[in-house]
Amino acid sequence: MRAETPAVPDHALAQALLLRGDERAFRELYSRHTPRLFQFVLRIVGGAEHDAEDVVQETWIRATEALPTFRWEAAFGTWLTGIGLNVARGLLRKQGRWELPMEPGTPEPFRPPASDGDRIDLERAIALLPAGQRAVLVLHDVEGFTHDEIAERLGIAPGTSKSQLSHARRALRRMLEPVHEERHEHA
Amino acid sequence: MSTPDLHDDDELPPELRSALQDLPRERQPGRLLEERTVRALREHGVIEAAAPRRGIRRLPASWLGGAVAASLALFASGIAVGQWMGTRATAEVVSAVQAENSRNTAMLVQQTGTAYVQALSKLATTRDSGAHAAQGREVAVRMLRAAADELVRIAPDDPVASAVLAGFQKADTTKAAAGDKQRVVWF
Repeated sequence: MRAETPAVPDHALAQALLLRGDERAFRELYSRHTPRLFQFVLRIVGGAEHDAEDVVQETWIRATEALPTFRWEAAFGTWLTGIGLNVARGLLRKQGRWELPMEPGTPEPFRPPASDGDRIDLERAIALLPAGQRAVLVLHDVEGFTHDEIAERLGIAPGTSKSQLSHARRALRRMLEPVHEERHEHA
Repeated sequence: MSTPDLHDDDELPPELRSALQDLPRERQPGRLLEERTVRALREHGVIEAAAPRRGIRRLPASWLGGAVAASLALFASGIAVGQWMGTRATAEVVSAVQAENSRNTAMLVQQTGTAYVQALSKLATTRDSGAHAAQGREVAVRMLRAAADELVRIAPDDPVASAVLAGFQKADTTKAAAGDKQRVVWF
């Protein structure tokens, strides 16, 4: 019985793209890594699909330009996600929505919960967080990065990452609490 | 990426931590994003630009003979018909081509193809071995080459046309090495 032929590794596909401009190799890399990249940047930009698609496209452009310098010490997908994070930050900064690093003690911005139910969807709650807090929360609590890694990626101090995570979690919990009482008060 | 810092866990209820970790990690972007990205990479020169389209569609094998005859006939018509069928027939041929009527063109292909072959047949039987015969042969060969070139444009993967062109290229190399000169002025 013959063993199944292993898939072409990312490294080989990247070589084919670099050396021959191989479109099929790129499409294979794209299909392997884009779903995860897209979901990640979609959360970072706060759920705006159009923005996320722009970020994904720009990420691939930058990644293919930087590919000759990639040393393959990390997984291709992880490297790509790092580029995606930078591109997403650039977009948020351009839109005036990126506020890291925040000064210690900066009050949490009030984000009203959705009015279409007792609890709002977790994704929606994450999207409602301020961009910087959202990025830290996604990187730490969803993607599993440490504060040191987050600090390095976002160009902030590890302490800032911790405080932003604390703010983000508090805001998230508040948004996910039932809103009956608040509604009655406003009624 | 590694295990998140444990000291932050006291701020996150277990159910919320679990919900964050269970969030989907992949999501498919819009279908057009891939094409958009490929186009952008092509413009950046990362992906090899597609070869100029040499044919609109690939013809089935059964069309091969007809396509060969059609191409030969179309490109031979100017000379062969002019020499052997007279001015009136040529005018009809040109008129039919300009009409871009596929049915007329198909009939024209048959007529002029036959005329071309008949012309060659007559050329083969002529007793004249002087300059006129040589010129006739050269014209016939050049028509054949032009027809094969057109056929390759119609059906880029056609092995017969490709082989004919390859033969011509080989002959060119041989002629160039021998210092052979063209006898007629091409128009």
